[in-house]
This record gives sequence, structure tokens and C-alpha cells, in this order.
Amino acid sequence: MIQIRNLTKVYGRRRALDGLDLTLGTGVTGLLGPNGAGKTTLLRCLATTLALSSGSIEAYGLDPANPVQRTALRRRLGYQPQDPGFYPHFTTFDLVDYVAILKEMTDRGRRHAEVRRVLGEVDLTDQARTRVRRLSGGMRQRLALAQALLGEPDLLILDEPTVGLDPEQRMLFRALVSRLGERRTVVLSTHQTEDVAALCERVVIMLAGRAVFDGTPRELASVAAGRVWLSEEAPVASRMFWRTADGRYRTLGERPPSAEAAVPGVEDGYLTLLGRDEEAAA
Amino acid sequence: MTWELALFEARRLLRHPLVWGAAALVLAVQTYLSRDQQPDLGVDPVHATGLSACLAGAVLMVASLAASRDGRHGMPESLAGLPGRAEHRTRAILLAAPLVAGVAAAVTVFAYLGIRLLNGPVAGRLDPWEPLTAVAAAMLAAALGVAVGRWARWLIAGPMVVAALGVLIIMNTTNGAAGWWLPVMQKYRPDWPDRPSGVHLVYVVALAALFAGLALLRHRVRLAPAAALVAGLGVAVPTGAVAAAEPPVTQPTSGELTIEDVDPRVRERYHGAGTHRCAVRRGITYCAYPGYEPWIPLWEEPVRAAVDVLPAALRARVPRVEQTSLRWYLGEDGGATVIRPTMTWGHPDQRTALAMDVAIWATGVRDADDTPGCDAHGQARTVVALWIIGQVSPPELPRALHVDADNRSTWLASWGPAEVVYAKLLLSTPGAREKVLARWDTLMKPTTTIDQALPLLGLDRKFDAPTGATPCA
Repeated sequence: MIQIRNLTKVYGRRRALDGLDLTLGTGVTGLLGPNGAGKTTLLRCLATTLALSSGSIEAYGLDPANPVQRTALRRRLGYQPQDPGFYPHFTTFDLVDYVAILKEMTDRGRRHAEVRRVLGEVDLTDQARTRVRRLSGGMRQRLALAQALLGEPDLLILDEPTVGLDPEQRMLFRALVSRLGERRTVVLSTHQTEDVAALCERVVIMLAGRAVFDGTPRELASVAAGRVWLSEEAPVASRMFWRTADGRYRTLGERPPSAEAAVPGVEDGYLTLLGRDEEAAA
Repeated sequence: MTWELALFEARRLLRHPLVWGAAALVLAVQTYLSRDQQPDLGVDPVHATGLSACLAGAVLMVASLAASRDGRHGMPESLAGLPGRAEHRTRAILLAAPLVAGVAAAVTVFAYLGIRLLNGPVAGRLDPWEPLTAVAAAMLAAALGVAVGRWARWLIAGPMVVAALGVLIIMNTTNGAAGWWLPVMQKYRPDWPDRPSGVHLVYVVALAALFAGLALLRHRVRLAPAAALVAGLGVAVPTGAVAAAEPPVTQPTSGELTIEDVDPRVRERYHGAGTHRCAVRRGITYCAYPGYEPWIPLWEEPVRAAVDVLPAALRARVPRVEQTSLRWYLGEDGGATVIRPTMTWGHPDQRTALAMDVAIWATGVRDADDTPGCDAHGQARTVVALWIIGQVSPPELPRALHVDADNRSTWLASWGPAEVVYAKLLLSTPGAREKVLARWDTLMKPTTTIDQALPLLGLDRKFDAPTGATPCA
């Protein structure tokens, strides 16, 4: 169990997190929010790579502000940063092995078995001897996930993990993360609302450093109930509409003339919650 | 974790192409530079130490890159969330880099010394501290590289330190006092005083400890690295001062030299009682400095070849062949010793020089007072002298011969292409030795011209070969 209380992080004059309260338990929690909402800052605080300005985090009874407990917490978490760094001249295997050593896996045989396991999990076994600089963007993204999976961490923190993945890899990713979420705490930030809808039993929407929504994807979608429309004519008064494959126009916001109601999705709920539908109608 | 990480880093460093590329280059360069020199245990390890500075430079850059690696490629964020801290990584590289550097230096230096030992008879005295200093210097470079990587993370920092040290080392090749503050002191000659190599080795090791402590202090002030820094400094300063206090070798100036001009540290070695060990081989006495006796058979070969064509009367009174340090030679034997191998051996010119010594002694083609300018053109004995030298190497026009790293030897007489060609014709003439020996006394007269000698030697006249204006007496 992870308790976040009144968490504030200030960069100069900007408050990236503003008194955030959140409790995270077993399962997959998705963080949604516009750029600059504080998602990455929250994940970095959880990953103990960023000191808090005020407030507290308690994870599995450990306080990351305490150096000894911080190290203990790091033993229990896996972290995939938004811009994961790699040593380009390392092989894929060596890079994960290096991280495994820094995760205090000292038994060489077991460590190498674990490295092979996580590379298999992300479908990089065939690339084990390939230098990182030769990997594609999607492969690197999977490599970043592999190192986060080392040691089967209790807390898995994934910052935009599906960027650059092709559809097949994204499906594999969803299968993997949903399986991990059965017994662990997985927190992922993303701009892909379909990932949230497909993966997360819980979604938190952040705006200006605060959580403005905390519920299930279904609850999020329901926020837009009665605000999603399909019409034959283009609703020129609205800025947020698009032509669907069947030739009709899908609109979020006020009902256009002669439009009929449509089933809202997570994205509709997200946009409605952020007030984008009203902006669109304005 | 530190040990596992050290093994990981060691495996990476051991596979680094720069380390083994530099090692191979150093080995190749060292072997090439000494290709025509017989092995000398007093000098070869010093050369190995000097050139292993190149390997140390490569190791410094590699260690610096490894230590500063976690600040590059966007890795800080990935590494920050791991239990292993930067201090662990520094410690691991501090274990791995000097280990790999030491192994690479040891392999290189001992491979070089092995190649040298296979090169021929080994002379000189081994200074065991020198090869150890080569290994320690590479380890010092590794520790310095880690410190540089930790304190100055720029990619260029390592190469800049290497360049700065390289310039200092290249500019300090002589045995000056300041040079001993550097990790390696390259230049050494076999007849120089002993080097302060033991104390310098301690200095190098102390510097390595100092830089290791400095690297670890980058993270936080802790007792062990602080103690390493202080202890390293405490040992490096006095040992460096002791090494640097060693007076540079006295370089004798030209002119009349006396015993006072000889460096006091080598007076006993070159001018004391029993400075040479002598052996008689087929009637000729060969004298070598202690440790250089294995080279006597090498000197014997050209001397014997030249002596064997002389008349029996001369062969019976060949002067002794005595190894001479040209640096400290005072002429105290009054010129009695005329056949002088020097402190090094192996250059083809050195064989020629010994044959030339024999030829000059046997034919007397030299100016009476050894002043330059004696003209041997047109004299029959000049052709005979060149023919004697030709038993060892082809006759050629006058030139300075390499006799050691610092000295060239020139025959104080001049001759021309005609003498060279006639000497070559004589060499290719069947029964030439018998003809020369039969007319030896006539041929040796300074007044006997080449034109007069040609019928005696069975040669046809092909050129004009007039005698010079100031003929050799």
C-alpha cells in the first residue's frame, strides 16, 4: 500500500504538484493528464529520484525521505522513466545485467537467469547480443520495461511506456502489465486513453498538480454521458468533432441539431472532465 | 554488489579495444625500436616503462569514460531509482580499472621483455623495480582516470589530462630532477648511474592511492577515502622529493677529460680496479664490463673475420678487444686499446666499426696525430683496409658509423669511389687473401699507390686513383 499525503513539489515558482493526496494499492492505476499536469513529477517522487518539497510518501511502510528506507524502497520498485537512458555501446543483455547488479542481484547465475527472463517477457531474447545503439525505438522502449521488471518489483512505475510500440507490441505490453497488476502495484502515466481503458482498473486524472478525478475507466467515461453525439451534418459551431468511418460526425459537448446520442468512451470523459468540450463549444 | 559490479566493469574494460589496441601498439613500437639491439636488462625495462606510458594514457581515458558514464546518455534518471549508488559504481571502477590496467601493462611489459630475451644473449643488470613501475604507472593512470571522470565529467577531460601528461613526459626525457615527479622517466643509458627506481615505484603507488581517495571523496567525505588521500599524499611527497633529489647524470663536455669529469656514482664502475672481466678466445683477449660477458661471442664474430685475413705475425699480436663506455672514456690507456665495442650491441654499424678498428690497426691508415683531414686516396693500403672491413660488411665511402645511441664513429681518413670499387673487386677475386699476404709489406707502404698494387693483386686498372694532397702518413 502506498500513501501519498499533501504532496507538493515546487520548481522555482511553479508548483508541479500541489498538495496531492492519493492512495495506491494492488492493480494497475493509470495517470492521465495534459502535458505539465504533474504526472511525471509524481512518478519521479514515487521512484525516489526526486525529493519532495513538502508532504509525504509512505510505501510499504517505508519513508523515501529517510536514506536507509529510501534504499530499501528502491529494492522493491521498478522504474521506467519517460526518457529512459541507455549506454549505446552496451549489448542489450549487458545493459539489463548492469541494472540487475545495481538492483543488488549478486548471484551471477540467478542474475543472468533473471535477465534472460525479463528479456523474454518483452520479446527481446533474440536481441540479447545486439548493441543498444542498433535497437529501434520500440525495442528500446521494451528494453526500458525489461530493466524495470527485474526482480519482480512490488511497485512498478511506468512513465509513458507505450510510446513507440507497434500494435502487436502494445498488445503484448497490455497482457504483461495486466498480469503483473494482479499481485503488484502498477502505476503508469500515458496519453493513450485506450491503454487506460484496456488496462487500468483505476484512473487518476491530474491537472495543475492535483488529482481532479479518481475512479474506474467506466466512471470516467460516464462523466461524458449525454455529451457525445453523432450527426449527419458537420456541427460547425463546435471545434471538437471528426468524421467517422461511416460518414457521420462525432461531437463532444452540446448537442448539434438533429444529432443522436453516442456511447461515451474514456477519452470523452477525460476531455469533458478537463472542460475541453466547453472550450470546443465556445 | 561492489564486487559484482567490479567484475562487470573489469569484463567490459578487458574487452575494450582501446586498452588492447594500445597494448598491441606499445608492444609493436617497443619491439620495433629495439629491433637491432641486443637485450640489456638494465635498459630494456626502462624503455618498457617509458613506452607503457602510452598504454597508461589509453587506460586513463577508458577509466575516465567508465567513471563519467553514468552522467551521460540520459542514464542519471534510470540509475537514480536503483539501490546501487554512484559511490558503489565509483568503488567498482576503482577496483576494476587498475586491475585491468595492471594486467594489460604486465602482459605488455613481460611480453616485450620476453621478446627481448629471445633476441640474443642477454647482458646488463636487471632492476626489478622498473617493470613493476610500468605496471604501477598503468594502475596509477587508471585511478587518475576514475578521479578525472568523477570530478570532471566532460568527455574531453580524460584526453586533456592525457595530453597534458604526455607533453610533460615528452619534455622531461632527460634525467633532470623535476622529471622524477612524473610517473615515468623514459631516458636511460646503460652507463648512467643507477636510477632511484625503488623509491619512485613507491611514489607512483602512493599517487594511485591518492587519486583513488580523491575519486571516492567526490560522493561524500568518509574516513577510508580521506585516509587514502592523506596517506597517499604523505608518502608521495617525500618519496617524490627523494627521487627528484637524485642529481642528474653529469654529461662530460668535449675536450680533455679527467677523472673529475666522470660522474662520482660511476667512477668505481668504469675506472675502479677490476672493471672488466676478460676471456681469451682463439688467441684474442676480449674484456667486458660485469654483466656484458654474454656479448663477447658477438664481438668475436666480426673481429675474427677481420683478423683471419691478416698475416700470421699480426694475428699473433692483435690488441685486446675491450668494451668501452665512450661517455666515460678518458684515453688513460694511451690508445693501447684500439678495438672498442661499446655499451650497446646489435646495430650493423657496430660490427663494421669493430672490423674498421682492426683494419686501421693492421694497415695504419690514419693520420699520425689523429687530426681529421688525412687523405687515403690512391694508397694501396686503403684498398687493403677496405678489403679487411669487407670481410664483415661491403666497402663503402666514408661515413659516420653508429656505435651507440649517443655516439658516431668516423674514420679519420678520406677515400673515394675508386678505392671502394677496387676493394670490392679484390673481395670477389679468388685467392685474394694469398695475394695480399704475399705482398703485405709492399702493400702497407704509404708510398705504394693503387696503380702499383693492381698487378700485385691481380686486378685490372679501371680508374684513375691519384694520391691526395695530404696523404696519410
